[in-house]
Amino acid sequence: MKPFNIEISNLSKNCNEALILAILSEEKKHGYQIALEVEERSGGMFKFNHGTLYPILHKLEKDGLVTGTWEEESIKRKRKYYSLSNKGKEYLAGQQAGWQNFFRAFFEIMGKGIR
Amino acid sequence: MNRFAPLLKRISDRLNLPQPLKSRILLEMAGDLEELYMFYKEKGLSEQEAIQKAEEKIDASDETIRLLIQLNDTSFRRYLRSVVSYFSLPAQLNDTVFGKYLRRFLKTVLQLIEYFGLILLIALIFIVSFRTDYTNTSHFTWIVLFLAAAVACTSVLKFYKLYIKKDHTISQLQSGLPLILFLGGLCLLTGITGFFIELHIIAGILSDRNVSTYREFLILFRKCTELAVFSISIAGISALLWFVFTLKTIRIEQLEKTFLLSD
Repeated sequence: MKPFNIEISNLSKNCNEALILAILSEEKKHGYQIALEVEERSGGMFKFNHGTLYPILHKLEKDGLVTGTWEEESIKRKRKYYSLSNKGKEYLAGQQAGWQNFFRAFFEIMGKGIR
Repeated sequence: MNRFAPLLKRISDRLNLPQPLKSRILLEMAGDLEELYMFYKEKGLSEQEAIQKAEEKIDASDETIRLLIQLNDTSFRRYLRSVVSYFSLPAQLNDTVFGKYLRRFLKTVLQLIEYFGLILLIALIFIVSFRTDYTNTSHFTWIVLFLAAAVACTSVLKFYKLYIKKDHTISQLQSGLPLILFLGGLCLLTGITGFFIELHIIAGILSDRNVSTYREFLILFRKCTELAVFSISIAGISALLWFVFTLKTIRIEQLEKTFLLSD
């Protein structure tokens, strides 16, 4: 598996994608659960407005990295759940390796004190 | 009425997408809004504060709407919708008695056009198929006939689903419509190409003869013209059927939107 090349100019976009894919790697979730979990697990460091979340999720779905399925929670309530596709799993593995390389290089410059 | 209906309506008005796609995006947002509302309510906020906080969190900015349109739509679909919406009734007429009767009248007229178009299409196919002098003129006639039959089958199936079975499943509503338009266009292209190819062949054969062949040329030219006229007619009827079917689906989609926003 080839590490993903993290581009500084697209840092925010790559970071958002990686966070969403990582959250979805455990189980299928809908938009609200994804946003909540990212915020809780990062101790509030990463916060998603849903306005940011929907375009990212729709793009990941269009690219075939996640699969969206509609589930009926009650008679009048349908929710769209997202789960990681096989292509998404491979992409996430590449992203994880890419971010490791990125932070290794980053800390190399910033110094060991902040690690 | 949904507590978030005003916000969803504002988003719906700005989302320039086909209604099935728009419905799904609104449904997704409505689910998240409800969860956010419950979350803030549990935190002890009043109903109004919880609604406001949930709406802020959704943040349907112009940039978000632009990205959602860009991700979910194609420029060709946008163009086709703009053509059809040009013929829609003005929104001011929606709740008036005149508007109600006008809509009912237009609905009947459009249904009659649909009947007429389908009957004309099938009649044309039968007439041309049984005229041997016509089918013998060019092989292209058979291709045009085959395409016309495909348009007829797709249209009859669509007619059955929309008007008789009344299967208004929103995700399936527009299925088959682009095919009618595509087959109609292909029919036109085949007919016109066939016309010129046959004309070229006839001109080649007749120019090799020494005797005067003006009358013979005219007879063959007329037969070639019939191929072009037939294919143009099929393309025209296909476009008409597509247009009326699309108006019907837009009407169903608008009803779906009203239901979604009021529930």
